[in-house]
Amino acid sequence: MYVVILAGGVGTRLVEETEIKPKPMVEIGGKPILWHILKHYSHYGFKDFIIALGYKGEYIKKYFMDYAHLSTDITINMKTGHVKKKNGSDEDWNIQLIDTGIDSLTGTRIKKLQPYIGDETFMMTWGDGVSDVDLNDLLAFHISHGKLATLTAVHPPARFGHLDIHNNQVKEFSEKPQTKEGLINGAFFVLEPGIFDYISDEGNIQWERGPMQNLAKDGQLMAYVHESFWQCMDTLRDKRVLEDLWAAGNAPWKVWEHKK
Amino acid sequence: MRHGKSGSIKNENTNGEGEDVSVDMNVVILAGGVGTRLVEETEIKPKPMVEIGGKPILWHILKHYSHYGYQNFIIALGYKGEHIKKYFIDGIASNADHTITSKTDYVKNKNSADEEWNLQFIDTGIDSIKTTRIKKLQPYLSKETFMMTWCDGVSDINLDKLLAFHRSHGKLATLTAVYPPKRFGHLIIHGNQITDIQQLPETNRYRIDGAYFVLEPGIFDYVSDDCNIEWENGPLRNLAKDRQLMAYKHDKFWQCMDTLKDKIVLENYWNSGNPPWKIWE
Repeated sequence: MYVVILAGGVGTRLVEETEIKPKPMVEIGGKPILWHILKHYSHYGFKDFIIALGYKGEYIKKYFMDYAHLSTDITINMKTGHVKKKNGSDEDWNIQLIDTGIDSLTGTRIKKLQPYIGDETFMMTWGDGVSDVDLNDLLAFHISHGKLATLTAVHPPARFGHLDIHNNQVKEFSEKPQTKEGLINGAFFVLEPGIFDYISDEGNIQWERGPMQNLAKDGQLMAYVHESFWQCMDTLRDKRVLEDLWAAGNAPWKVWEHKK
Repeated sequence: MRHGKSGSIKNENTNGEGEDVSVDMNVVILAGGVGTRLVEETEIKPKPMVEIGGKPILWHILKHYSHYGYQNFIIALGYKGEHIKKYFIDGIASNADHTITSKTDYVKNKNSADEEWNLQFIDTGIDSIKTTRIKKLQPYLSKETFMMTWCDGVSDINLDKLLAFHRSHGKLATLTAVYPPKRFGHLIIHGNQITDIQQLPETNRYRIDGAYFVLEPGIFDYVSDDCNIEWENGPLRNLAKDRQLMAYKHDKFWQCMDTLKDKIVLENYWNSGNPPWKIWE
């Protein structure tokens, strides 16, 4: 089954205009967040990736082009220019890197991938969030309901601390709790090819607006509720949270080293 | 009482109605943080210098305060503070009317006929937390009530009413409690089926600390006790515990600039020609 990763957005939340790298390449523990996402999927046996590129896509291509060399021992013959890899990369990944346009919105990127995906069920997520979603369970849920689309519904980490106020007096100053808000779209989708009918060829379409709302209206959008770890990397603060978890050695999304 | 040069507001405290007093109260602006939310490591400018409509957000905040007559600003610098000083010094150099006093950290900025800001730029350390920055400003704040905010956002808070509220309760600290911006994308789920995706209704929302503080010098006792704990986690918590922290509820416009998305929202307001925080027009 293909796993589509949307990695082409400009990333309006983490970064400033001056940024030099696309968001999926922002590193946690010395590895791009995109690498962490691929590790997560491949842990569950999903190794065929289609990565939608856009903004600074060449940066992402270069990373994977170099990956095989840079992640293993190599011998270089300077005279001939021949490079000999001692071993291949540890990763058994097939990665298609597809340009879907610099300014395209998410829906339009998905639509542009239709020829590569073909007529099969596929998974899809963003290149900027990690979780410990059980992908087998997610897929089983999707197959069980038979609708066109499943998304993973999560509780968002609160962006601000809450004030507990009584008669204008601040009684308590709370830390940012995981949530007092409802469930949001945490990506980690499973999709049927029928969803392509919901994305127009015309214009620049945002997946979360028209298509997803229409899928919901038609009763074709189901929620796989995930109560465990989920964290998007919208901001540098989020990145630090993830870095700290990684450095502490117990990153919840590092499912590839958890005991089965 | 010293008298400010230009500003005057209607004093709404208990001294009586309609008494005009000049405003020489100090306004502290914490402008030294690295800005963990908007920017990436590669950024070239400090957050207070991020622009809305071609002017740094710091400028917008100074305009807001000076509209209510506050002209005396103490700006706590840190990360890329030289960038901020340069902005104001260059502003003066480009206009013959302006003067810089001999005091190195004191700049008198008279950008145009209606602006007369006294800006003191104080280095409070690159890596300092807010608590440390506040503590380092104590010598500059003598023994008077002062206001404080940071460059995380803009609002249309009525500073006269804020001050009147602070005077009325007599506690050490007032913060402005606001509603965070609405976030789109909450799922309405019935039996795992998503029936709608919408904005979170108002009733589910909670208030947050929107800065725009009014503080008594007594808060420095709390700052000294907790100088290694961030302002919100140490001093403010203890002020709340001691029932010395009051919330001025502001229901109108407030928008933080934590992220580039927020910045785009603010730019769009500005370009619409009627930005809610542009109270000076």
